[in-house]
Amino acid sequence: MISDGFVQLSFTIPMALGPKTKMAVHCLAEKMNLQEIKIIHLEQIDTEKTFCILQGVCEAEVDVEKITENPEPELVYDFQHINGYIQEKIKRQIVVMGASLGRDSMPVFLDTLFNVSGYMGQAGLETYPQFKAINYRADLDMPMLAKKIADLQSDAILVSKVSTRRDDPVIDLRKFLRELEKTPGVPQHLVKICIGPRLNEQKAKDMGFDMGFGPGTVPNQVAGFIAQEMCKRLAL
Amino acid sequence: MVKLNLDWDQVALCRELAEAIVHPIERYIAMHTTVAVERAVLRLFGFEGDIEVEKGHSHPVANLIIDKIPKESLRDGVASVIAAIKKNNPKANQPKVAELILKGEIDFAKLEILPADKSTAILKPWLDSAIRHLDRMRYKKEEMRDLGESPKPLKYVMLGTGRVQEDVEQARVSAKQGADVIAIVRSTAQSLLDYVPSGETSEGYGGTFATQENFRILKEALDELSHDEKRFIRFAHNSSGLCMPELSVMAAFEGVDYLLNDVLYGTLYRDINIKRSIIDQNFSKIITGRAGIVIHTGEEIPVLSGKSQNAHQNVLANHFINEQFAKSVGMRDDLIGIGHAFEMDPKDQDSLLQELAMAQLMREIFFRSPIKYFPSSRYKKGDVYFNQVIDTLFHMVALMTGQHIQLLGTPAGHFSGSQMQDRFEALKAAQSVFKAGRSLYNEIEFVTNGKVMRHARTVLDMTAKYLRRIKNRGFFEAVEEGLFADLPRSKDGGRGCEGVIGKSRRYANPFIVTPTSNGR
Repeated sequence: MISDGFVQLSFTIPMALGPKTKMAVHCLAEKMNLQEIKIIHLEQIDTEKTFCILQGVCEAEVDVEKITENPEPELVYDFQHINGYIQEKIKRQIVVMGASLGRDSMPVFLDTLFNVSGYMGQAGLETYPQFKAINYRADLDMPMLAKKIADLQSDAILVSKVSTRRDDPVIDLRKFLRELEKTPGVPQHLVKICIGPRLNEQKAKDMGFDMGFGPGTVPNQVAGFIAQEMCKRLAL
Repeated sequence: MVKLNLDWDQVALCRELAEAIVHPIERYIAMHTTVAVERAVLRLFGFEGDIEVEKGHSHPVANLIIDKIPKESLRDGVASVIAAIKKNNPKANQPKVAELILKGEIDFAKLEILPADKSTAILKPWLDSAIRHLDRMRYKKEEMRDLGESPKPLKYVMLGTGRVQEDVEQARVSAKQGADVIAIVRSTAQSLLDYVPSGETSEGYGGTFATQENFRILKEALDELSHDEKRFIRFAHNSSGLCMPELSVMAAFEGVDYLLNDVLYGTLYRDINIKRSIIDQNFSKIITGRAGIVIHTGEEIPVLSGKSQNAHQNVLANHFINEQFAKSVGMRDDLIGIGHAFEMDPKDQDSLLQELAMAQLMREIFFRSPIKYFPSSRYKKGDVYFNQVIDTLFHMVALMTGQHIQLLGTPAGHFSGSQMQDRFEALKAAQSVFKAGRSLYNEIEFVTNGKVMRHARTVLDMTAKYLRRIKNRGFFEAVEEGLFADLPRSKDGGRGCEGVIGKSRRYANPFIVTPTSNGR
């Protein structure tokens, strides 16, 4: 039966395996509102820790009709999926650039998104065969960067600005958008993304960016977003 | 045990080519130093600790001193500078010398730099104390081995919660469950910091910061555990990045057993300047070799980079090159721990056979090396049950090819970081598989000219061709053209390039003239 509500859970509880353990796990599962609880595995893994696996039935229901849109952009595709998607839809490499704005900027966040080493076990953009990823870090000033974008016909740009002063990043990021408008030859479809510790989608959109990524962003999210945006823009 | 019927002339040719690639670089290295090497020299001489430069902001003394010394004077080596200062202030201890430099009381232009042997003579007490410390740590490792060891493959687990005390706790749990090596994952992108943070740390990002105090805390806990468990439980850490020499000194002083130290890792993974990286790794190896630390290289690079269709020969070539870099500083074979990783897409037909061929090939070619066998997590997804299958396949290969160290993959480790139950599952699985197949290695032979043998031979032939291409281009040029892992890195670009310094004729670094082979 499809909607049987069957679930299987594994977790570790902070107590030794003893006469009370089974009951404790049962109580915990009841508090999770599970029915027909079956504890299928209990094993002590340390003096005060027990590993449990249990099965049960979850009677909670969700009305799919009522789900409209996901408030947070859910773009976590995997590496192969994204590359396949680009290959199939866009049929060429996407050029993506990264740069930090301002002199006291810290390109480390940018590096975690671009480098092979990546972040949270996900390799950075430069490993994607379907991306031509160029990370300028803090090497270029704003006019130079805008010129590069025009010269190399970049499809997407990731800018970061990490500053010790609170409002500084916003000002610089806006300046960058004005610089882009001034520069001839910047591709119309350029996907503009800003990244930084205090940024999110709303703040980024208020400034005129297409997207903002904050802390904890993994390369796949960025790659997935760029791929999707590109498709929208090129009306594919 | 020889099983692949390899063409050993071809293996010798690969070694010769690797030597020919590394040789010109050795000359380049001999003529250059870096700010990180000089900071490491200061740390060896006992310039430790931080100084508060402004409220709430402290910098390591070693960084402050190197930043204060003009580049022209650094060309003579920080040892020469310190010796010259000591000559004028014979009673000055390390804090006093640091104070003189940092307060601007030294006129570097007028400082009389002595010949290298005179400088060394002046610094002898500090030099001897450092060397004695390194030697003591090497002897200690030999003593610890007497406690006993698990049968091979040793079970290597990774953890890193960000909080060192939590790491100690989790290390204890894993050791009790049978782990033989505890490796600490560093905080994300620490390799990009041009200084080493200090003190005990309680927060990190995706890992725990490498600091000398953290090394000490963890090593002390593991030594205690080794005595409790009556087997040597080793401590592994990572020195890659802009501070490789300094982290190597700290690891050596605190008794770290295994250290990740790869020639190309920083350059390919983190875009660290190749020249900086090459000079740094050289000095690191001198120190780790003296302290008896096994270094592991990071061969997962070409595998993980995602673009290489034929990563196998790249991986093997990297092994040969890394081996030559280690040999060039006189490291013993048993300290050159090759790190070996492949991707095995379980969906591909005969991928297990290819993996067997590669693992056996490494084992035969680098038969003295404590190879770290690394199951790739590339084809792991969120299906934690299926991930167990992938890990088990790698366990089987490790058994069948007699590997030395098995890095244990975990069912969900690449998703949620280090979960205790995840490592528990991994250790439990490894224990059973290893026990069940303990003697497999001695019972297995491969069919002559079968798929396994043919794959091994093809890879070896292609490796020789690939090494020849690198040799013909030159090492730096090959890096620039992206011959390694398809990641082109400019030889004058990347991070830390400005920290490379040409040595003057008067350059002195008493640790380089001290032969590492002394204590053999």
